[in-house]
Amino acid sequence: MSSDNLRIIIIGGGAGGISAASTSKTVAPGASVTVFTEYEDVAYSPCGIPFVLGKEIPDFERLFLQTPEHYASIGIDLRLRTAVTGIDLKGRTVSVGAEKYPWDRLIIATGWEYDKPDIPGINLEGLHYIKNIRRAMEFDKLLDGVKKVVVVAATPLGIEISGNLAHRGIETHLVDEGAWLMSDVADPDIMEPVQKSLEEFGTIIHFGEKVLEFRGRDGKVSSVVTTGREIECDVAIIATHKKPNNRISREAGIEIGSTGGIVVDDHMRTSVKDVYAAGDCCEIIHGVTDIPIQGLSGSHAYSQGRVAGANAAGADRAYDPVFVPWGMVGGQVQMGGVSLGETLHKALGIPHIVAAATGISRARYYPGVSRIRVKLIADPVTHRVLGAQMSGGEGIKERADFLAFAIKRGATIEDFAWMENVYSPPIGALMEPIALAAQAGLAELAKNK
Amino acid sequence: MAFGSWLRKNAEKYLMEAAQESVARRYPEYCAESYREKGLAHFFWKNVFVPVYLAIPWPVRRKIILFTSYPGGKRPSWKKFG
Ligand SMILES: Cc1cc2nc3c(=O)[nH]c(=O)nc-3n(C[C@H](O)[C@H](O)[C@H](O)COP(=O)(O)OP(=O)(O)OC[C@H]3O[C@@H](n4cnc5c(N)ncnc54)[C@H](O)[C@@H]3O)c2cc1C
Repeated sequence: MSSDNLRIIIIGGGAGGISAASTSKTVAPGASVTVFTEYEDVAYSPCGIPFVLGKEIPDFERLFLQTPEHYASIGIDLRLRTAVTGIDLKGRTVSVGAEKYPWDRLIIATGWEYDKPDIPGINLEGLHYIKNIRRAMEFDKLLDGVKKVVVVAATPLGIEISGNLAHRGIETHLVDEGAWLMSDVADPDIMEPVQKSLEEFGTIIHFGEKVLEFRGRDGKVSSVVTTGREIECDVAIIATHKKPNNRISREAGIEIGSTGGIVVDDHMRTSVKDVYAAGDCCEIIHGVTDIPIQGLSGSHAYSQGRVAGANAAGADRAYDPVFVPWGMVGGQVQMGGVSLGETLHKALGIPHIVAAATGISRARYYPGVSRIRVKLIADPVTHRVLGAQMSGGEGIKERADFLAFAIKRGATIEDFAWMENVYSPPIGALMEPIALAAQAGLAELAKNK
Repeated sequence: MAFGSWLRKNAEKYLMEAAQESVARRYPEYCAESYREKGLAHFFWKNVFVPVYLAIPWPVRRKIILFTSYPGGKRPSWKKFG
């Protein structure tokens, strides 16, 4: 079939769906490209929402990257507020209620939803999930009258929201079952400065407590009961883990993997011919362990959408296994990493050594200098670096990107110990913290000989 | 829930808990106490599954994980780095 006559349907208007649509249209300008989304908007950055709620960013309008008119002008048919109710793989249609829409290529980018705890009071009014920008705008207005909030789970989103609401002057409680922040992915020594900074902002953190119940008055939440206490609140925010939103794909018979994500190959092809998937609804192979993982970031969804969109339109593009550089801010501290940290290496039982050091971000005498802790995890036999975690005042994102690139290409502890680095007092110290950590790693390896 | 998903969900939870406890012992100054459920099932996963799993050499364990990750153990095509 000529790619010019293709009918491409995309379910989802998030980072995955919109990048798929734009790329399909670029690769096959004559194709008809239709995007269905149940939301009112497309092309906004959900990642900015916590910072508008915290008044770091002055308004929501800045989070919009494109208008619906822009997509209409490049020939993309956007169907806003339109939920796809079913996928017919044999008849090659999607349905929206009674109406059916035919496709030659289908791209599923239905994203993720919060893992809703199954506990009493979960349907009370006043429980919020931060995702859709319109709901966030309404919530922002409501927050003007809020004095006390409870955030459930110290996930990345939970940490961002807690720091921002405390910054806004609201009494903020963060409740988590773990013994430190983000204990499922990050290490305690890395998260300690973040915890301190959140507490300096005024966030009250309750570790080691499970939320048992939301209690209410007149149908509205009034307190959160944990294994340790009852915390009164005006609203509660559920920031639990992201789980793939795959109901319609599962019902259609598309193969779902052990993570709950759609199984795709490196061309974002699902188990069904001419059906592609991208973003948080999929599971992707991890570059170091080779194991499928799920729940990556908006930047991953965007890149996968581009690959799915190009291939659906007739191109031949591959997406590599992921090394997952990540970074974020909690309170005033930056944290980030690549691949797996020490805790996850232990959990999987992967043989490793830990190489850690604390360095500085600029020359020691330069105003604004901050401490940077870097931890590298390496294979004790090949010395290949398998993962890294860091926290500090600045430069974490750039280090995470650099480390991901180098680790993907097989860099070893020796490579990092002897790496060249920039020295310029206002932007970089003489001793690069990554090199310091690697030198500590060499010492560790020498001890184990 | 399919067997692979059930296994992965439980294995992840209990391996993670064991790892968190070990890491907390290494960095006690940075850790509070985690919440832990109790009961027979928890006892089994913690005291039987975790030690048995960790006793299997990593390359073998990785193969088992990959096999149980896909129906029939058939992995879709992806570039290999490791
Ligand atoms: C508060 C917040 C902060 C974030 N911060 C960051 C960050 O700092 N960095 C980062 O990289 N990422 C961040 N993210 C992004 C996020 O974590 C995801 O990785 C990203 O949203 C995934 O994009 P996606 O397109 O796969 O899915 P989603 O964004 O979930 O989009 C799914 C789309 O599918 C549509 N949909 C679902 N089902 C149907 C249906 N049946 N019919 C029609 N439409 C349907 C929805 O309407 C939506 O448009 C943040 C997200 C939030 C909410």
